[in-house]
Amino acid sequence: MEPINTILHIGYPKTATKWFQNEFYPRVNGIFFIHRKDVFKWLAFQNIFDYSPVETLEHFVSTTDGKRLVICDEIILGGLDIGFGSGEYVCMMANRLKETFGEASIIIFIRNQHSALESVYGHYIKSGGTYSVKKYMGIYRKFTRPFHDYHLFNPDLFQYNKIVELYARLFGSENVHVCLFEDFKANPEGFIDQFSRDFNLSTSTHLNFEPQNIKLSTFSVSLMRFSNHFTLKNTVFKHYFFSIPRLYRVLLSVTQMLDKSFLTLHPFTFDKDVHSWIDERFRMGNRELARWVNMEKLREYGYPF
Amino acid sequence: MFVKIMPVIIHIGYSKTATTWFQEAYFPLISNYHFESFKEVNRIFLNSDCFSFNPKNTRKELLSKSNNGNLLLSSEFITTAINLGWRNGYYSAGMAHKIHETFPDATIIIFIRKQQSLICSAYQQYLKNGGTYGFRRWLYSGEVFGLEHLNFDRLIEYYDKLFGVNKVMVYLYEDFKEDNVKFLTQMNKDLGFQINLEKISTKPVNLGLRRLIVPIILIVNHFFKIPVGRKRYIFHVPGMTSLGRAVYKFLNPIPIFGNYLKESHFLKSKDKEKLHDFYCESNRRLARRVGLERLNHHGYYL
Repeated sequence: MEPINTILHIGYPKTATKWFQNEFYPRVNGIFFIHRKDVFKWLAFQNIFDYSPVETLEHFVSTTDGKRLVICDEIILGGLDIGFGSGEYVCMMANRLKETFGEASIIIFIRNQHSALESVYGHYIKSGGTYSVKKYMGIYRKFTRPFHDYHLFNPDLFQYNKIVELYARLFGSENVHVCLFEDFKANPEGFIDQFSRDFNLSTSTHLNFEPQNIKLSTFSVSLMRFSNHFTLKNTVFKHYFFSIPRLYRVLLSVTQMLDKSFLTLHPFTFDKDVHSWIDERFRMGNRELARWVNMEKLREYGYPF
Repeated sequence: MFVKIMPVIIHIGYSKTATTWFQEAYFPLISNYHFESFKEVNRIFLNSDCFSFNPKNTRKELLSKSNNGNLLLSSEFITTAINLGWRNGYYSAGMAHKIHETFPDATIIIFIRKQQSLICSAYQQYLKNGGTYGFRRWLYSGEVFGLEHLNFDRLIEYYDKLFGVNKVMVYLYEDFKEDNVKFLTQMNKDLGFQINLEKISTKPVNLGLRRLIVPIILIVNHFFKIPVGRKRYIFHVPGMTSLGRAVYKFLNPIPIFGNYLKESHFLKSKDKEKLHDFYCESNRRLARRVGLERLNHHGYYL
């Protein structure tokens, strides 16, 4: 038995997925929202050679109690910590979802690459990173040998047109829905009303629209980047001298407290030349999105063109 | 004169199964095949964008290099670089699909080696490439190496499904080491290679490390940043990468630095037990494909 009208909300990272996971989908009536740990266990971190689409679907269906199945996880696009390589993970995962669920509505939230990548870099620093923006983003690559930068973040993940087309090829254009994070941010209540109608979702309780992630300030980025040289944490590409136990946790609390308390601290932004690089890198791909989104809106929201 | 068209042959590794020797000393001397080594193969299959990969053009590009349509490709990176993480096999499988889309009729060569021996060799490679982690941290932490990488049966089965069992040739590194002339004669027969074995030098290209070289290399490696997955360095001193290579090239051959390291230097009985437990089931499945006696003879964990 296949689930009816399954929803696969696949990201992007940094487009309020955490809010959808914690606040929205758990409060939607009549759906079965798959918990992150099950998405990790059954979908993302399954050895590709052992994976069985039939077993996975059976498992999910057996737990849904006949309800509509909903998955919302940016890990489906590799999150930010799974090496992009040449797109192997993303492609294989898209195929895996098709093999497993057959038909499904695919929801993809996108966000202006300028602010998305600033947020991505903030995430990297929060995860223990020490690289500069240019090194992290691959604006200059030091590694030319195969695989050396495979696990490093690759901004090509944010070539939205490629991902959207991949899913459209597999699931059909009519089943792929591209939403703008900026629309959601500008008017969360109105956006969610419309979103709920479009996907036939209804919530019975009040939703809290408070943002779940606080953007790091320039001061916090500098402080964490320096201090991360003395923490191990879980990012592969970093330079650390030695690991001081618990320093990371203390740092995270201190920076969060600072950023919440001193609202006058300047939020972290990229330099002009990095923004120029982003414009150059993504403008061609964004033009290909015309089929999916209103181009005027993309211009209005400052997407690279 | 008619030239017999042979299938495209692709040698995919594993790492540490004499791949460098085959790529440098053997494959280029095969007279009836055009050989492309890992740099070109990596450029085409590994570093190419999955979203815009064009199998038709790739096939055309590669076949145009061969005068007679016979093509031999080799890169151990196709099975994923051993010191850069396993990542649930996504890279290996992604590459297998690219290859299959390009050459669905290809013959695949897979060399395997008993895990306990390959692991020790891979760790030495990690040190040679700049690594700084101790053996156990390298082996068990999952930060650099993944034990799942060496579940040979799974990858072989995957290739079997894509290309067909009779198109996937599995060779044992130990057979090659035991009697290389016999092994190569059989392999040439299997694959239709024309090569004068008398002209071949069987001198190993990659040697292991001597016992006293390891601490020297570990110290040097702490002063340059070339990444090998994960490592720790104090600060980067320009030129230290070359110094590291020089240590291996010039000091390692000198016998005063002790004997070459063996499995027993790295693997204590507890490690052997763990590896046995981890690999025996996979190797038993592998035995159905390559023969129990052969695996038993060479000491694979069963």
